[in-house]
Amino acid sequence: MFVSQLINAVSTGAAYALFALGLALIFGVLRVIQFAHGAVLLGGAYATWFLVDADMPLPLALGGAVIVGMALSLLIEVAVIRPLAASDGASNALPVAIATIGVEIAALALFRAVLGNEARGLNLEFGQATLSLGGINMRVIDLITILLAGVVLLGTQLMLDRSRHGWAIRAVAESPRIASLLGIPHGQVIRATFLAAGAFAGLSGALLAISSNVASPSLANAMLLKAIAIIVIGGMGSPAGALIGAFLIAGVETWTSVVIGSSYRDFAAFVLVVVMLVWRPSGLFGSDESIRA
Amino acid sequence: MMAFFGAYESVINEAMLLALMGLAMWIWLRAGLLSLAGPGFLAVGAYSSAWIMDRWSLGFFLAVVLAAAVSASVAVLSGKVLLRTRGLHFAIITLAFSELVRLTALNWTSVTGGALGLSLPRLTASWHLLVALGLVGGTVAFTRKRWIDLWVDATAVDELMARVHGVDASVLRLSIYTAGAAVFGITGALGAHLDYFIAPSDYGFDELIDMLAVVVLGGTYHWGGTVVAAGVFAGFRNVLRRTLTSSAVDLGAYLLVILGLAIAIIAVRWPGGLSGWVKARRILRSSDAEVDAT
Repeated sequence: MFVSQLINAVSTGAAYALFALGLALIFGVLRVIQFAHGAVLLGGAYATWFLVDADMPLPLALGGAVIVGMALSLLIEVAVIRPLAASDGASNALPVAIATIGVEIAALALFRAVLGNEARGLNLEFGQATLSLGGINMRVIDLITILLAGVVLLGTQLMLDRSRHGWAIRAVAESPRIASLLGIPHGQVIRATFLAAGAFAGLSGALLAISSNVASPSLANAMLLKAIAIIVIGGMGSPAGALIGAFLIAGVETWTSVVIGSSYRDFAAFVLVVVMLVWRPSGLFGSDESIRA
Repeated sequence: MMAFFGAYESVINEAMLLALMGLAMWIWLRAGLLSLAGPGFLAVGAYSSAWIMDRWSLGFFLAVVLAAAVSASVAVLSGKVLLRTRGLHFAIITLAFSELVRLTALNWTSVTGGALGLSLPRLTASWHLLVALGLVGGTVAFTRKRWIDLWVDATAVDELMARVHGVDASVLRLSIYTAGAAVFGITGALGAHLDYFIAPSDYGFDELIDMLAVVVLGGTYHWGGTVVAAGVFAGFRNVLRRTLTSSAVDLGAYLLVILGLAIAIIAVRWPGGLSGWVKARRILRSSDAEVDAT
């Protein structure tokens, strides 16, 4: 019983981490918070609902969610981030914050206007299918979530550490100006980062929707606030930090709802944010450099 | 005049509430504080005024004053912690603070009525809003180019230099933060007793849109831009609402879509807002004059 609950909590943490990773990567290259990322996740969740409703097989539904997430993220990059980028490549954090908050609110309202305010049930038996391994019952979707998130997070970290693309991203994160002097196509790196972040958000939205069996508009802001909390805790631009932060938030949420009561669950994340920002603004894994954001 | 006022009373009230919120945001932003705690302080003002009206028979005026005082005290206490952060970190920590206030309102059922909310009598009249707006706007106008305004400017331009010249930047920032919170407290108290009803969901992430819209449209160069922007925004929103709901298909749900996009477009295309545009025009004109003279 305890082990299956643990697996459930780990899978929740993995889905959070997947979503927060995109936010962390964007913060890494641009030093901005992309507040409209919640809408990207919602796009993935609703794409999954739509494809499952149309009796598409599950891998196709996941793929569709990834594509929708990438498209939405790219749209935000082209329409908001690019025009606001200063000539020296450094973005202006406050106008970006205000503009993306506007986009998040607008996109969420659009989802509500078109698809209604109520949650859409997925009617997918697979979401509740269980598997017994060595006497421990676990949900298949939890295993898939952990596996996919693990692959993505590990792959991202490896790519950042080992590949030329990863070096380019880290160079831009270090200093956009020097990176472009070295011939690194700064704009392309940012676009690629937004595409990756969109893919991760879409996938995370799909997995959360399948796991809870619903796609609901309330997912967007709740997950956005959680992801901001996660990257604050983990250190804003750090993928490893996003993973640790996600498990910390998921763990504290579970602990609060069991020990104190489920209505206090959401307090935990925000109290942690306040404590972290005051006590250690660079997060658990951030460099001191990120304080100057 | 009276007929005009009668027909548009609700729009005018809305504009004045928006102007108050915009001024509070403007006070913060001018000192470089992008605080997203506005909904939280609105909630503090609204619930504390409702509580005071319910428990003590002090009259509405004192209740609003006390609500502002409660809001300011919360700002002083929380500000000591929140103001240790800067820039984007400050925006995030104030957003977290605002959400904590909302969650407190949601869970403290004995005082706030929880998710079901509170029904309140309508005590706010239009002239109350006008007086509040006059007082706040008057104070801001009075301090313009006086010492506190110059201190704020100096700190925003170069904090180290301002400190060297004897400006206590931390106290200044805390005072500015508290002043904005007090204005939000007044606005929350007045708004709560205008709408008959308050609930925690009135003070969430989506409610940021009003404050951001007004202050982004108005720009941070001059407080007057904020007041004009509040009028423009309230008028625009009402025309839009009427148009969207009067067509054959009810499109009222799209209101927030248009408003959110409008904020994004203004923030991307005209980052200086109305007052920035006016200022840019003035600079252009004076440089044209110089060119003509030579």
